[in-house]
Amino acid sequence: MGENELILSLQSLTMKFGGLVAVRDFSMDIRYGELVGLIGPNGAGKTTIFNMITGHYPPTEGQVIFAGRDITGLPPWQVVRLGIARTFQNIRLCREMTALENVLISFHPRLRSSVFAAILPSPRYIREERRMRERGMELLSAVGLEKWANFRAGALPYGLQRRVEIARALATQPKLLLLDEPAAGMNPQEAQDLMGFIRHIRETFNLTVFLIEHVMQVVMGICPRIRVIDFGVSIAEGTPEEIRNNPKVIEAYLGEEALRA
Amino acid sequence: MTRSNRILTFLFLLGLALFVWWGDKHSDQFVFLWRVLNFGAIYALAAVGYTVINGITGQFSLGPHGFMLLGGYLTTLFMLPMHQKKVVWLFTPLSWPFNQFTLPYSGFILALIAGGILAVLASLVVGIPALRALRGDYLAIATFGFGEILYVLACNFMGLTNGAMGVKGIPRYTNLAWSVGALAVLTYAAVRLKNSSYGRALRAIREDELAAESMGINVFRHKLLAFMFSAFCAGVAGGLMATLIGTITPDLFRFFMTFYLLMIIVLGGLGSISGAVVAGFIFAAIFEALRFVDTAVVPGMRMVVFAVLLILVMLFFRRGLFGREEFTWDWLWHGAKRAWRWAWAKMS
Repeated sequence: MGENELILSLQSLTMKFGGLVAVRDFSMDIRYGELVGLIGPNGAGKTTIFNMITGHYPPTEGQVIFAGRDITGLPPWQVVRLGIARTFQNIRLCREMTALENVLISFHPRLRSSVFAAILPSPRYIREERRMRERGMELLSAVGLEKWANFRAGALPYGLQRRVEIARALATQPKLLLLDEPAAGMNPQEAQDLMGFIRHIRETFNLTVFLIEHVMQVVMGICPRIRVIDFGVSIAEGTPEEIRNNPKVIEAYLGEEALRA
Repeated sequence: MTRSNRILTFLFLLGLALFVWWGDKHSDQFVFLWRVLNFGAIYALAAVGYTVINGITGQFSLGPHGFMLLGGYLTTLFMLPMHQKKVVWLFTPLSWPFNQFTLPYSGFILALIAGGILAVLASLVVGIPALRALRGDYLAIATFGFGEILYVLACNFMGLTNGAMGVKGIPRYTNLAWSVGALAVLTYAAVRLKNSSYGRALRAIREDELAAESMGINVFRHKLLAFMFSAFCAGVAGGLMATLIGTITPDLFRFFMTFYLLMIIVLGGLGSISGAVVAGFIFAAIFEALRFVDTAVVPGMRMVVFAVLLILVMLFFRRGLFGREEFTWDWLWHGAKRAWRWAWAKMS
């Protein structure tokens, strides 16, 4: 894959909910290996864009092209299998299950044994299950969670829950990782640690990362390229420096007053 | 599983087999108790299947009575002796192919499995549209409607069911060996299913369907899998019940049957397979023990008493007897140790 090849191409995505246009004519290209940020005030339509990519909402208009293939309208479970994993703004773990079990769920779609083989259990299933557990532990170790493997996910501290969620997304073996406000609800120090963590997994797992954030400081630190949207419309794109000084962005975030002052 | 646990499990199964053998041999001495144990095993079997879809997968189905009805009637049609078939279907002749043959006792297991498979086929008919589109209360209403449709069909397909008059003279093949045997096999399957990768997917669907789907789980197919498993258990349980009682009418499998099963799985702890088994036997025992209330007070009164008991259980054990936990030897061992320490502290 060449450096400039596109992994994801969003072409004039529009999402309407009845009369409300949540996202209007949104286009964006992401190259392999990039780390791109999407920012905007609350309610700007950031999560809606993610939901259109992952198939949770079929877009009203436009196309999602992933690795050269049109994936518009595919159901979420197929999109994941093609290599797009995501996390959620409000952490969505299976709280009653352990951290390890949460990661193992992501391996399930690649299980080869039938349900009858799993019930018996057949020697092949036993091998597969053992292999899954080993790989689950490897993955948890890679994100520094091996100590917590057998803790109930819902009982873990917030920051660790976020890491379990990311580990679970990584277990689907994604090429593209979508992170929806990963630092939401964290204090500045935790957010800083998390950004370091994201940079780390991106290098370790050779990922392309597309992340949403509404706290600008967080995203400025790690994303070389940032896109800004407001009220469902793209208003700016550029390096953190360009974004910081863009009058439209300042207006969106702080209101017109701030510009005049 | 450690080695000592393996030995304990082996000894338990051996003891159970001996008890079943002994109980069937002396059934005429303990008729009442023997019947209660049979009913307990059959309720437990249907409840184990029911908790797989309702408790483990979290999909609120109200259909098991329909699946039990299908299993009950198919097993009856396979096992009823030819002379009885001629006597029962007086007004409307029995339909082909059931008027051509009957199975000997050696074919009983086939009849039970056929009943289970018929229930599985029916679960596909109702599950493919309903599980794809509906969840929660809406799914409950759809599956409930399915059970009612089967009831009406059973009342009117005279050529297969003899309508509301029912079928009598079914050979009473069910004994503890059959009922407890079927319960043991399908409980093993359910426990294995719950603890396997497939079971993790089912539990993930219960906890957060959207998250499960976002991790690549085909939610619809896994719901259908759980639904089919529960239908199979219910179908076999229906067949066992018909051949335990010896008669079958559409009224035997009306909605109250699902209501009983719902009480059992809630009592046992939603999602706990061992809870469903234990609560199945408890239900059968209390249900029979309270029979005098029906005769002495008002018919139907024992359901009132039972409902009050259930409310009390819910007040003091909010998550049922087992919660979502399963019975294990370690659990028993820890409990015994704690009880021993408590008793020791009291004495000294």
